[in-house]
Amino acid sequence: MKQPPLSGKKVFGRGRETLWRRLHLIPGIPVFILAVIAFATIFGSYITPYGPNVGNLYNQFIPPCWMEGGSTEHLLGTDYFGRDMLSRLIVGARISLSVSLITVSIAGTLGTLLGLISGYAGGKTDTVIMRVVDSWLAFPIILLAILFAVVFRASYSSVIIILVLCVWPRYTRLVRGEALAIKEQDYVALARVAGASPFRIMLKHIFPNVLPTVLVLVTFQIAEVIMLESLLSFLGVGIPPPTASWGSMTADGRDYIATLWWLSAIPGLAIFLTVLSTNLLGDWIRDRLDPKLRVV
Amino acid sequence: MQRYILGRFIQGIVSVILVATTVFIIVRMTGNPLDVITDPRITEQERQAVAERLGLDQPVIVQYGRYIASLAQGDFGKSFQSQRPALELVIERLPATIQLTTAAMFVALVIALPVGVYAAVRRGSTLDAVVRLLAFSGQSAPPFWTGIMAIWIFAVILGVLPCGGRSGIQSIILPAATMGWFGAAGIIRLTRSSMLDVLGSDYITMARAKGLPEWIVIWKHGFKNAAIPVLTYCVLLFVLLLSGAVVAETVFAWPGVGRLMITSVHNRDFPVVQAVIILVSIFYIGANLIVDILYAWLNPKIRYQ
Repeated sequence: MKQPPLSGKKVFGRGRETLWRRLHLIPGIPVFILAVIAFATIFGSYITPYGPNVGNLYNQFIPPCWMEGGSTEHLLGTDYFGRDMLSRLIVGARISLSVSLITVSIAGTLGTLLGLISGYAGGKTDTVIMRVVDSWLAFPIILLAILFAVVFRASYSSVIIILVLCVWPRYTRLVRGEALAIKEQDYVALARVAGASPFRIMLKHIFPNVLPTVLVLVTFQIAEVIMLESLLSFLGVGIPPPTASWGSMTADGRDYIATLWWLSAIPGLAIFLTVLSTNLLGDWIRDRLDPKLRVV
Repeated sequence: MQRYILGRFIQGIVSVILVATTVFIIVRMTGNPLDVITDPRITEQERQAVAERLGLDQPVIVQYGRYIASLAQGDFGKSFQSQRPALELVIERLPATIQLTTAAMFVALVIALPVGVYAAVRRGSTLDAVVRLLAFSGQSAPPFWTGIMAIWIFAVILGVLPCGGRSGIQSIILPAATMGWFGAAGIIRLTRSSMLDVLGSDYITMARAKGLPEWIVIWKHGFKNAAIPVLTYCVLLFVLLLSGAVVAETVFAWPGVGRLMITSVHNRDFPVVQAVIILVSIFYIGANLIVDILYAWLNPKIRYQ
């Protein structure tokens, strides 16, 4: 007869749980995928012989090389305009990564700074800033992005501005929470007694302690921004054509899904793998740096 | 309790006004709001007329006042494309979107709640690991891609479902499933962690000690308490899905509000875009209000803050 457990948690097969944790310990696959993408981003233009926006209408709709009708000249086939898919995919990687890295750097810096000020200053400043952050976060991001897209013409820089505006409040809220806890510590009080200016205290004492948490958020945000950028491009309000973005490539292929399924499948798969790898990496970093944040 | 509701309600109205103000500011930020607000095809004289009517030569405060007043009366302007009032266009399309969103929520809940509960109950097992992996991937896969792949698999290869449009119960399955899948991932994770918290409580141990059948322990005692944070998340998710419906409607050609907004953006039909944004914001703020009230009703500690 099975012994009912004393607590509610039935822990099944400790071996399995340890295996999951162990697999998690080695971020091999995500790092590999991300390394491939980073490599393609940096060295891509030297590998592919074709320009991403150069089309040859005689070469329309060539399937990928492993399919019937495909050739090794165009490893991943061509699209409606005869443009090489592989080259476009590589440019798309460059765009996704650069947009997300720039966005996260700007938003992260701004948001962290505001969070530090809000958390350390406290009082009215804190209340005002947090009110703004809360109402900002409460608003659906897509609507904000679309509103911007209809008012300003879409371009590379406008997309970055939109994404920064959508993303900065998370940092502020996170950093402010941490700063509130840290400023009660003894070494902060000591610094204040020693006559350090608030700015110095924020930068030299509080900031290094919130950094691990911020880094975890940064990795997850990179994934989220890649997803958002591809979503905006898919809807036609992101990076404008003819620049290849994975999102707009997926949108272009939608009309041909019945026959030329790879036009949508491949860029979409690229987005999926990149976002998945970044998320897994973020999970791993979080487990290392700040287990408190684990959402089981 | 009434005071709490009243307070939240007033906050809601303030938020709606804030949204309208943001739209106002953003449009004015472009430097030449006429380019945005007016149809590019009209003559110079008509432009002047619009400029006068909007009082663009007047101080900003006056413009703002007129703007808020016209919004309050339900005048969102006329669509450039169809010359019909923007509000009317939006309301026309609203039932389709609500239908899709409700179906998606249904799919998400039906899948996610039992899966989340059992992943928590059988924590550490293979089922748990598989579920967590699926939920994780579900949140990493772009919804427009899963939608297109779903069309490819079910409509093109298998041929069992239509690939788009709104034509009957078969046509709602794919879009609802795509949207629901994305929402389900979040619900699964939240249900699982909430359930894990609850299962460690004393009253669960007590229920087991009393000799109650396991399913009563899990569902009647465990789930009812674990459901509170999930419930609040779900109401918010509903409205999030409303705006996420933009993607599903675009992929599956579903004639709803989201698709209206996208086509309006491409046509630079500003009044419609403005109408959609403000109306969806009202929905969103309303949903938040309901969640707050519900939460306060379920958990009396909150009322007295």
